Amino acid sequence: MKKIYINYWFICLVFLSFLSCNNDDGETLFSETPAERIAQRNSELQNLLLSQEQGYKGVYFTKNDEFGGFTFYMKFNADGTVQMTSDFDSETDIISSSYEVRLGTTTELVFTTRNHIQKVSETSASNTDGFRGTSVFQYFSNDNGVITFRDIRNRDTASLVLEPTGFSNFISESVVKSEASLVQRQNLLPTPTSSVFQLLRIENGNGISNFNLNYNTEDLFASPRITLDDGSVTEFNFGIAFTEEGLVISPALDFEGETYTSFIYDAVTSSYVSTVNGTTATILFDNEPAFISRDIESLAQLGPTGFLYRPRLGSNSLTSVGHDAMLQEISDNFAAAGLGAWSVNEYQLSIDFESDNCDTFVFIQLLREADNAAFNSFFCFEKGVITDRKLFLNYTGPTPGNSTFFEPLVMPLLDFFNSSQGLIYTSEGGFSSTLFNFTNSAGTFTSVENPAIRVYGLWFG
Amino acid sequence: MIIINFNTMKKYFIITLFFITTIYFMSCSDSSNSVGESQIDTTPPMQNDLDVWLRNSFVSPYNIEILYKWDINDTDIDRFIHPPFESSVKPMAEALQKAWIEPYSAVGGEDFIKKIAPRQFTFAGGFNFDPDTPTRILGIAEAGSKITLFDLDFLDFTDINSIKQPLKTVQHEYAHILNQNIPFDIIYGQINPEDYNANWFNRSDAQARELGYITAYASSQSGEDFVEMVSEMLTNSKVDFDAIVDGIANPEARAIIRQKEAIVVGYYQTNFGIDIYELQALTDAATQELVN
Repeated sequence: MKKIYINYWFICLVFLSFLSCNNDDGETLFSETPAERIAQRNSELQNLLLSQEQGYKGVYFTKNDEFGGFTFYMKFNADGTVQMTSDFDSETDIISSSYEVRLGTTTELVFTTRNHIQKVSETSASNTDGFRGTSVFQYFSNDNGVITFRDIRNRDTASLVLEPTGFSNFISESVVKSEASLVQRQNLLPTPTSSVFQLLRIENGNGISNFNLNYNTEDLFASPRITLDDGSVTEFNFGIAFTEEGLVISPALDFEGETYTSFIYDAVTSSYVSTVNGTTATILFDNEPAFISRDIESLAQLGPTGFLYRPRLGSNSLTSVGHDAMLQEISDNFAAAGLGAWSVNEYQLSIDFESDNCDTFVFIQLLREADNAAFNSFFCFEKGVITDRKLFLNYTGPTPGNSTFFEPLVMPLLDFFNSSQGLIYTSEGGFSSTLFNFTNSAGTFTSVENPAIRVYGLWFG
Repeated sequence: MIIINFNTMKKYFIITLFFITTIYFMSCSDSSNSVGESQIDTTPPMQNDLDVWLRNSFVSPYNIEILYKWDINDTDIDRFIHPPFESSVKPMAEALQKAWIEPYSAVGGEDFIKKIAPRQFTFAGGFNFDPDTPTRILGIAEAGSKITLFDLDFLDFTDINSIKQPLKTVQHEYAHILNQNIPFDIIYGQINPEDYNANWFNRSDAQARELGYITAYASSQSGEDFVEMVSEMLTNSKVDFDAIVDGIANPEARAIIRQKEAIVVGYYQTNFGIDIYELQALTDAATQELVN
């Protein structure tokens, strides 16, 4: 009997165990369904975009290990349109196009038809990737109204950051601000009177550190670098985007415990300054490079050879706009003297480090453009002297004949070589220009007295 | 010694059974709430005037969808391409309507395009450069169901040569779709196969014509050769097409192209009952009208 009883109990327990339910009333991770959460995230972004009646200012770095960025002003409307302008180029008119907030890889802002922002995706036969930009931005974060987006193709190097404009009239103010950004981009470019030595200078409790900026104007990308005699190299890399007040860099510059991102333009010194905790990072034009190499010492080893600048061989960006302005000044001198149109056809510098007997001289060939007649002239210097890694040439006068007549007209070029503070020389490897590549050694001379003038040429002999 | 009689045991069993039954009915939660409203967002997308026009002009009559709003997955994700200006969309769509759909409908019947046509066009504003070759892709046809056109923002809709570029692409891709429905005679590819070359881009059109191919791209393979013949015929008037062929210096090449032309004419006539010369006249007239 007891056995029957036990069996009954056993059967009941088994029965119970099969009927018992799982505990599915446990803690839920999310109170909404996935579809609801997606919809919420989309509407969160949509509402954010529409919340700013005066729109957003956006700085978009497409790929900050290769390119700089651009500033956009965009106003999102409830009818699915977005009005936009930018500092990408001089066409700053506001354009209206469509946008959508939708689920892609995550909640995405998609600029569905073309507007200013697609300029970063424009390609050409010579540049098939453009700035490697996109029309699709993944919603990444909202930090008190500052919205950050990423691009899945350049996920570690791209960012679009939108912040409220604070405008009272989006239509008029956004265009003005875009044009102000364009002016700031221009401020970073060399002028006929600005020094060719553009530096990143950091001043902190440890002193002053200088780096040659190495700014690529087409890519808006800088690689500040210094190479010392021992071959050690310190280099930074960042893209630059311009704003109405100055510029921002990405990635941020980390130096000795401080991080620099935003630089404000100082019109008085023509420099961009970032101040962080009493330290400053400044992008400026200076009279000398961050470091003067020993390249000048190689000239003494060259032997009997000449340095040639000949425009017909093509151009190189190392020849400064200040140099070209100097040649124009010479042409202007001829015109002012009533001689018509003349130009510098080429010039050569021969350096002798032993003799003062006009073995160091500048040969200038001038072209009378009316009949293409070429006239040669020679101007003597004392022997070359190298002091503090600079070349000093002391002008002594013209050779008899045409040179005497031409001397006052070509004086800007003679003054360049006669720099009282010397010339800085850099070796630039083989000759390379827009037209030719030669195996001849090439180099540059820059006047320390007037560092706006730098010439790139080749050595022959 | 414990003695339990049968009645007692039965009582226990009934109590236990009652207990289990009670648990059974109370243990599971009421799942009646698990089926609620649909979670699928069925809100219709916002449509602007252009969307409505496209729907009325292409979706309703021909079941052809024209996508111009950017979806990165519609084109190669590794290429840097961008959507078109909205202002470029309608002129391009009208060009398709006038110079492709209407002529085919006129000679092939009202339902011709409805029955055999790509179901989707994607418009892209920017260039599509091929990183592996020094070429630019003008259009892509996928599985006979979709054609993607590039460069829209760089077209001049008042210049007939500019507008002919996308139309040639469409005629080219549409001929592929026709071939996918009814293949062309393999004899076509045996006329002059010796100069088919994957590096066709190293030839100019003029060089290719002297070899018996109507364009450089036609010299890539027989399938492209056939559709290039079609697209050249349907984007030039008969006079202009004859002038191209008659301008070929090599008489043998001229004869080859005329032989291919005859196969194309036969293909259209036999399989679709279409006189391609009549179609050619209609497409040319429509294209002229587009820019006037």
